[in-house]
Order: sequence, then C-alpha cells, then structure tokens
Amino acid sequence: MLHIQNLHAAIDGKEILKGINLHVKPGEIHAIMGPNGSGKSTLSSVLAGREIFEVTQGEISFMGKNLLDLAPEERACEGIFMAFQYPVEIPGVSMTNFMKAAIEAKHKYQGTEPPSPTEFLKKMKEKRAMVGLPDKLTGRSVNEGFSGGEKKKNEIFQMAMLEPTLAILDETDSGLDIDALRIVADGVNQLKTPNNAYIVITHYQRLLDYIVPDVVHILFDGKIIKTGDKSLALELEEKGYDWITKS
Amino acid sequence: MTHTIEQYIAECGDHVLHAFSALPRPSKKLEDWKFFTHTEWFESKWNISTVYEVTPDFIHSQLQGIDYDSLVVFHNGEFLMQYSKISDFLKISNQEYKPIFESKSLTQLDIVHTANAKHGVNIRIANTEQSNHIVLLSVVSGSHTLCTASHTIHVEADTQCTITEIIVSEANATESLMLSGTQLICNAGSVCEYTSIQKLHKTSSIVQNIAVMQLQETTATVHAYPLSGAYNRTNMSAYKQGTQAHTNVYGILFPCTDEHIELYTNIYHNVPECETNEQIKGLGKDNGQGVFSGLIYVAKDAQKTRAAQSNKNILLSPTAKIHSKPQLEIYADDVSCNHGSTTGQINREALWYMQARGIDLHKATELLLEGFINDVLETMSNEQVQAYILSHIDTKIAEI
Ligand SMILES: Nc1ncnc2c1ncn2[C@@H]1O[C@H](COP(=O)(O)OP(=O)(O)OP(=O)(O)O)[C@@H](O)[C@H]1O
Ligand SMILES: [Mg+2]
Repeated sequence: MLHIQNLHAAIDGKEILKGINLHVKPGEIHAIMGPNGSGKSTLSSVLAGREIFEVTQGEISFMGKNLLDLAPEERACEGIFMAFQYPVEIPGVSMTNFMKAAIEAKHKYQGTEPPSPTEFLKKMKEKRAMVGLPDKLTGRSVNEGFSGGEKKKNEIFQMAMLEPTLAILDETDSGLDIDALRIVADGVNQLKTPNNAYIVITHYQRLLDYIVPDVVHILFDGKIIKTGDKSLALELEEKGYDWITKS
Repeated sequence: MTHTIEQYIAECGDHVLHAFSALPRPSKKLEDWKFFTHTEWFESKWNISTVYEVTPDFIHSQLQGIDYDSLVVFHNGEFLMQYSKISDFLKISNQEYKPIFESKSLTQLDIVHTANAKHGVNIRIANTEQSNHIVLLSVVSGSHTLCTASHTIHVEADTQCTITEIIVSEANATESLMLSGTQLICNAGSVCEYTSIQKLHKTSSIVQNIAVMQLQETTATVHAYPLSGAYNRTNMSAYKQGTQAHTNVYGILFPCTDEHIELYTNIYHNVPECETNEQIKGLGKDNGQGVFSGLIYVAKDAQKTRAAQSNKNILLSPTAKIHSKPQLEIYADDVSCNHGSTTGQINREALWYMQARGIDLHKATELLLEGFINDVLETMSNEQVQAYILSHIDTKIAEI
C-alpha cells in the first residue's frame, strides 16, 4: 500500500530525513518510536504533504500512485490521514462546518454523492460517541478551548469520520488519561479492517498494549536504524535508546 | 451642464459660499483625512442636476430578498415616493435638515453635503408592537454624478426598530460621488438597530456620515458595512445625552484591488453610566487600503462608563494596508475602558490543518475568513441583511 524508498527531506536547507525506507501492507499496524527530534513528525508531515518540507531525494508510492505528485488535500482524499501531534485551533470555524467541508471535499474528489444533512449529523453523533468526544465540543470552533486530551480525541473522531486507508497517528497517546487512552485505542481497533493500515508514532510501550503492532521501527537522526516485532518496543522501554544508538 | 464644486457652491448662495470658504479642504494635512488624496474631487466637473431614469425592477433587484415593512427609495439623493412603501407607523416629511451636533472638524465637504437642503427626508418612527424593519434604498446613477442626501430619523420613546440603509451605484455611475448623511435620534427607552451598507461601482465614491444621538436608557446598535467603491468612507459619531445609553458598533472593512475604504468612529460619553462596545474587523487584499480610526471620548462627568473597542485585521497580500488608529480619551476616573488592535496574516497552520483533511486551499481560506468575520456579522439580528452582506464579502473572498 505504502512504499517509501530512500526518502530525504529538508527544511530551510537542513536535512531532517536522511534516507527512509518503509513498506506498509494493507491490514498492518506499524509503530515508529525514536527519541525527540529524530524526525518522526517530519516523516508524518511529509507523507501528508506539508509543503514547508522539501523532498530532496527518494520516492513515495501510495496505492500505486506517486504521492509526491499530489497536493496535501488530494492525498487526504486518496485516503491518507494524519492525526496531528499538535492539533491546530481554528477560531470561527465550527467543528460541524469543518467536518462537513472535509466530507464534501472527499466525495467531490471521488465523484460520489455526499451524505444528506441528516445522514451527516447521524454519523457525527455516532463517531463522537465512539471516541467519547463530549457533545458540547461539536458546537465550538475547531479545537478552540479544547483540553489537550480533547484535542487528541478530536483527531481520532475526525479519523473515524473520514475512514482513511492509511492513518498516521503522531503521538496521539500523549496527553490522554488512562481511560481516554483505552477509549481511543478501542476506537482505532474498531476501525481496523484488512484493507487499511496504521502508522502509530509513540514514545510509550503502553499504547502498544492496546494497539498491537505487527512491526516496530526505531527512527534515529532521520533514519530507521532498527526494525523488529512488538518485543522491540518492550526492549526499548527497558533499556532506553542508548543500547541501539551506541552499538 | 457640469460644475466644479466651487461653481456649484457659488450657485447655492452667499451664505453657503461664505461657510464653505471658511473651512479647510480635506487634505493630507488634516489628521482625519490624511490617508487619501481628495484634491481631484475639487478639480473635477460634476453632473449635479441631470435627470436619469431608474426602473422599479432595478430598485427591487437591489434588495436581493431583504423583506421590509417600509421602503424609502432615493435616486441621486431625491426621494421617490412612487417607489416607496410607507407603513402607518412611519411619518415622512421634508423638514429642513439640521445637524443634531456641530462637529469640531468640519471640512468643505460638509458644506457641499448639506448645500442642497431639499435632498433627504425626515422620518419619525412610532412605537408599534408589529415588526418594524425600515429599509432606505438609495441609488446613484450617471457618470460624474455628484449627489447629496441628508436624512433625520426620530425613533420615538420606547420604540424598537430595525433600519437598514443601502446605497448602491448603477454600473453607469462611473466616477460618481455621493455625500450622504443619516442622523438618528433615539428617544428615551428606544432600542434601535441601524445597518449602513454602501455597495458601489469600482470607480464610484461615497462619504457616509452617521450621527446618533441617544437619550437615557437607549440602545443603539450601528453596523457599518462600507462594502466596495473607489473611495468609500463612513464617519460615525454617537453622542450620549442621557444615562444608560448603550452603543454597539460593529463593522467590516474589506478593501480589495484599487479600493480605499475608511471607517472613522467617534463615540462621546458625556454623561455617566453609559456603555460602548465596538468591534471592527478588517481584511485587506491586493493593493487595497483600509483605515479604521476609532475615538472613544469619556468626559470628566461620565463616571461609571464602560467601553471596549477591538479592531482585528488580516492582510492577505503584502501590498494591502489597514491603518488602525484606536484612541481612548478619558477624563473621568471611575471607568472601565479597554481597547486592542491587531493586524496579522492568514493563519498558515490552520490552512495546513484543513488541507490535511482534504479541504483545498481555496475553500480553507473561505472557511477561515468567514470564521474571522463571523462574530461581528452574526451580531446583526436580521438574517436577510446578514446574508446580503455575506454574499458580497464571499464574492471578494472567492477572487483571492
Ligand atoms: N518547521 C520546522 N522548522 C525548522 N526545523 C524543524 C521544523 N520542524 C521540525 N524541525 C526540526 O526537525 C527535527 C525533527 O523534528 P520532528 O518534529 O520531526 O521530531 P520528532 O521525532 O517528531 O520529535 P518529538 O518526539 O519531540 O515529537 C528537529 O531537529 C526539529 O527541530
Ligand atoms: Mg513529533
């Protein structure tokens, strides 16, 4: 589904990603771990199409298409979803209008009929309940006045609404309390099908108890320096990063 | 026959000419007129009394679905009874226009504005239980037209009403200039919401003067929407004559290509226990120029005044400008007044967030800008007027 070959990316001439290779198949869950500043969020942003990052080398194909040819909104409509590490507040734009615009954009792109207002509101309600996002928040502006945890839940809510093929969760677990973590993880597991895939970025093994990865990668200084199964996360929790980076 | 402004003034009689000569011309030397060069107005030849036809169809098309209880129509400043609809609770007369307050900073334009005292009406709005939306629609026609109108509206005691004044120019009104004024007298206990909209051809100009006098226990809400035009200026003043006189001022400026849009507001607190709440938003595009200058004056005796003023602007291009000049002049000590002004660019992070959800840049910009102005626009109680304004602003946003 996703093939990343020798990906290099820079910002303001400073190279951040230094040759990433990553292959994700439908139905898989990949976890990416790595120290602060190693390039995890940069990788997610590059996948989602953030233009401030310049791809200097390498290729990314997604569902047979050259991802680097597509604008960010086209990538989203093709089924890529990135849950932001730091969700952005959008004053004056209500959650409902924002979600409506996103759903309509997707249907327009795919040439399908958007849901009727009643269907749309029904779906909003359903998905909100699924991720435990309080009712009152949908009347507000996007992320404005949301608590840290509510913002993270809101990302998963949007994911549930948009039903992506590939979801990249950038530290969605940080800021969530223990109950919220379980609710969010349950949501992710419910949305999981044999046809979609997840890349889960996290610092903590705890999340991976709920969302069990097939593959775990360690990103360090812009490169994947180790790949293993879920036991790699446990090992990391125990020993820290030193044992891999120093060897 | 065409006239320069001076020729026209000379024909209006000695006393007019005398008053005119005693005043300064608007120019960059005057603090309140420094952002635009008005000299051309005094050199141009104007059509002053040329008669143009205007059709009822054109008039109704300008209302774009706004319902009214009374409609008062003007064409090049002249009242058109035959196209108007005056309900029972409205009395219209031709009483001569007298300024309710003498401004300290008059210019020659004020004399030009009131030289033709026949243009404009005196409206008295009586107390009624019924819905009470009064629309004043003013149409400007013809190339190089100079026209004037001055209206006085008395809102009787304890009356509630909504007044919407729309000034539009026809496509043929190239290089025209309208000098218009509306004064509102809000008698004790009245609640009045007044919306002022000017939607002009890209070479037409206007100066719209709004003066509000408020007696005790009144609420006057003024929505200022100088939507488009080569030079589109609104001067708004409010004078509080009685305690518990509350003034709300809301407005949006959106100067685009070659437009110069100004809003000057002066709110005078001369008596205690009054409130002012002012919220102005600005958007600037291309080489559009905007000015917001807002004075809140609190006299020594105006204790327990509460006033808040906010002006927020977003510039959509490096060549757009919005000059923001908030001024609080406070001589009383027991007051609560604050003001704030910010000017920034569009929020790139928010655009990126929306793009990452599949919304293209164009739609994302539209959502963001609509969101930016929404809290000001939605203070308007009449949703039809709101939609009228939003559709015009949306057209400007769509051209980005
Ligand atoms: N917009 C930016 N401008 C300049 N440098 C940036 C920008 N974004 C990221 N970087 C730099 O790129 C490097 C990688 O950052 P990134 O956010 O991808 O790390 P991360 O692995 O997600 O870290 P964390 O675990 O703290 O979230 C850091 O050195 C960071 O300072
Ligand atoms: Mg990060």
